[in-house]
Amino acid sequence: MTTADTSATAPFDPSLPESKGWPLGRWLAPFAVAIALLSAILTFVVLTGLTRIEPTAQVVNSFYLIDAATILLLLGFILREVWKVVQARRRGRAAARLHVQVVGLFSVIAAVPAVVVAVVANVMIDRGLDQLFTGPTRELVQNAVSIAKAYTFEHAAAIRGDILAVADDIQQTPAPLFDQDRGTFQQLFLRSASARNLPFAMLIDKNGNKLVETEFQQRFATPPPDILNNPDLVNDTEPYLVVLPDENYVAAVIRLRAFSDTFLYVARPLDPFVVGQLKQTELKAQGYAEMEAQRYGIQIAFALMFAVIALTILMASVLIGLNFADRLVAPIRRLMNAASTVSTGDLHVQVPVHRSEGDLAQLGETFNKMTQELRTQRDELVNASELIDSRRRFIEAVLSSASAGIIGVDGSGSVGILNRSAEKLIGHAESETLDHPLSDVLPELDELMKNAREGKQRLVQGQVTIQRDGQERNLSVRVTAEQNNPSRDSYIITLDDITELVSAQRTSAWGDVARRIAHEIKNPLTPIQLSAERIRRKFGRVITDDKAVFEQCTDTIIRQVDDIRRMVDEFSRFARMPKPVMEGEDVADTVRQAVFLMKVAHSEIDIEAELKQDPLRAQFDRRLISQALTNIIKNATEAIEAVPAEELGRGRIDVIAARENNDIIIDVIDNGIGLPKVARARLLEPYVTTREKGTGLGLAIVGRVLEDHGGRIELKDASDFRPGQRGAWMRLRFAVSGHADKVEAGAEPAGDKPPASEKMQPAAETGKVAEATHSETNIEAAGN
Amino acid sequence: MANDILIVDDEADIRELVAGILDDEGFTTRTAGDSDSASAEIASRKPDLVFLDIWLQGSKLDGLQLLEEIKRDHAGLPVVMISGHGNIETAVAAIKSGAFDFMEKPFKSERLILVTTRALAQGQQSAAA
Repeated sequence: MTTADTSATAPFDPSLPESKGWPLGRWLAPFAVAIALLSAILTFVVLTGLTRIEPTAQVVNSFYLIDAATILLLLGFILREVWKVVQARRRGRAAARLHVQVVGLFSVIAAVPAVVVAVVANVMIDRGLDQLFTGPTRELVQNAVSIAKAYTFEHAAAIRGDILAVADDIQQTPAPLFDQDRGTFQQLFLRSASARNLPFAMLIDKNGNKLVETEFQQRFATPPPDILNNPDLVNDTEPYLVVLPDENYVAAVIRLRAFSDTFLYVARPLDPFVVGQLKQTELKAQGYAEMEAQRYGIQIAFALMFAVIALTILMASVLIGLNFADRLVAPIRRLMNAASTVSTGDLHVQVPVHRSEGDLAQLGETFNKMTQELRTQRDELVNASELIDSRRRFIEAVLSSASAGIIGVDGSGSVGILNRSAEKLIGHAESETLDHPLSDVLPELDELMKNAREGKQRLVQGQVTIQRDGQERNLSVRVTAEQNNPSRDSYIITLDDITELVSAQRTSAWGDVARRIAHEIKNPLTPIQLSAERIRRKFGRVITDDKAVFEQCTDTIIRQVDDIRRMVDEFSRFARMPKPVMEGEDVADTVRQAVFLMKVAHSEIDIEAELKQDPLRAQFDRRLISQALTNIIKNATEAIEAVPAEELGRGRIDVIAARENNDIIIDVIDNGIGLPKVARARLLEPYVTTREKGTGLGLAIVGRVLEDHGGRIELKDASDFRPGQRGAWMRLRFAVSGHADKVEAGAEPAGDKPPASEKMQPAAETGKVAEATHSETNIEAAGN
Repeated sequence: MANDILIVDDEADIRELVAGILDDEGFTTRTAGDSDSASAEIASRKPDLVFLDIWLQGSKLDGLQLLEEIKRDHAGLPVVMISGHGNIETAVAAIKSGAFDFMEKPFKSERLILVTTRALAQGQQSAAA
């Protein structure tokens, strides 16, 4: 995981490529540092004379030049690094400030000791040289030199006295002795010399030729003639002294007055040890003096050396500091970059972990773990929220598809949620009810809500009736308290539209009542009828007076009983209409038969069937449709009969059957009295009739039959069909499949234009009671 | 000629009227107001035809039960059921139980006489057989 993430996160860590790029540059700086240090050390070594190379001014200068060059090189590197840091800082790169701080601290820590040591060393050297060239040391050297000189002068003074004494001795001897008795003279000369403790003495002429000499192991050089012949140097009163420390002797020469051009030359060897010491002392003193002359040069050289080394170390340490800062800052920078990436919400960040970075590596590891953990938790959260979301969508889908209306009400009584069914029931869209108080949206629920709030039970039920858009709806209401949060109760209100149920219950109850009434009415009808018939049968033969009256009375009783029975039958049939039994049948044939029957019954009217398709197959209850059609045609005949004879002409009824899309359409057009212009829609309602003796059930039954077949009855005027024609146009429409597959309430379309000629409506207007009654009887026969 | 007819109906008016009409036509009639008295009448003398109301109010047995009892004891005795109002199920049940026919109230005298004549003829046939 970590490796994968490292590669994945590489683009997020801009510091990575930089640290790996330009390897030459990385190695150049340490190399330069090494060169600089090496040259500084070499300079030091050479300058301190630890090598065979003579630290001459030329050598030292060239070393200094090399040092300067390396320092300049380092300086170049440093400037480059500093420039980079400054640039980074200017760009606001992460950890640039830390970088600068680390480098600065490093430089200070490295430079301060170097400078301090350099200063201290310089002071020390100065103090040391001061001590060397002043005070006792200088005196000591001078004394040593003085002593050596004094020793020589002493020997010289001694030899002066000796030579003067020997010269005296020789000059006091008679001159001829030298010339005549050279042997005696020589003895005398030797005695005089040895008496003076002169190991060597000789007489020489002006050309340096030996005349007389003592015997001595050591050879002494004779003075050159140019010295002897120089009267400024050699005269007869004062000897000319020569100290020859290299030859380890002092010599003196003097001209002898008693002899012509004869010189006495004596020499005495010095103590070789003393002479050696004397020579060394002189040499040292000379060196000392030279050193003193060079003192400031040395001091400057050392100061320069210190400066070079200090500078080199400073530069090196700055470079090392930069390098170190790079290494130290790099992981921090990675962390900062990663952290800033995380702060933008991207948790897919892992920093590379290098073991060599120690604590920072551990920090990086912890950071990686942290982001990983965060990511895991966030993913879990996201998953959880997705899960919740999908559940919410599911619940919303359930809510919106639920047939029951559901309203969520919060503790303050405002609507929080409202599903589609509820929207329909209360007649408001969800958007216009949300956050509105429930008592505004559905004031009918106030009572129940009050109970729910005050009551202890979780569930409150009840029924309310609401008025929306002129329609009355019966709702079964359940209020469930959600007591998750005791301080803020919320409620779920479930609304079930039980309008249909209530209506069905009503119909059912009404059907029972109707049946019961029918039974109770019919029961007494039997004895009435039987009585009337018995009277007629038994006494009809007997009665002779006013027999017509007798017959009329009994007939009226019997006929009226029959009417009552028929009305009760119709009444109860409507109350419990049989369920249609759908079967595949031929509409054309059904129409043909119905028309044929009515034709037979009403030969005075032209009744024509026009079948657009034959056969015309559909799913329907033949008996019911046939009955409905018969009813309509019968109504048409009555409408025609209601027209005054002088206006009528020939009565005509057209019956047209056709298929229109998925509907079967049967049109019945008559040229009768027509439909009333107002309140036609009401004609479809039960017990509405315009006829005195009509039950008002005929059209209602037809409408209901068609509704059961997924259709309806449409009431129009014949003039819509054939311009100028008087009369009504009834359209029976039902679905081919026998049931409604589209929502089409049967009553609605009927309401458009004034409806229909109910069976008897014209009859009522004309008041032809007996005829109407009669035709009704026929209809029933046909229907049955 | 067999003309002994028993009329069983809880309603006195109907009972008496049916009996009167049939009397007028020359039949011999007896009447019973409940199942017990009807059973007693049948037991005392087996009639040739029984008119039986389906709904015998305040009786031990209703019409259909009484019909089953009669059919059990006198399989050949024709029984015509009288029903209060159109009820196909009841009629079917009655025919299945062995009733000869049924008449729906209100019925006309002609139908009553017609059914009586046919039922008696059938009863005679079955008796002869």
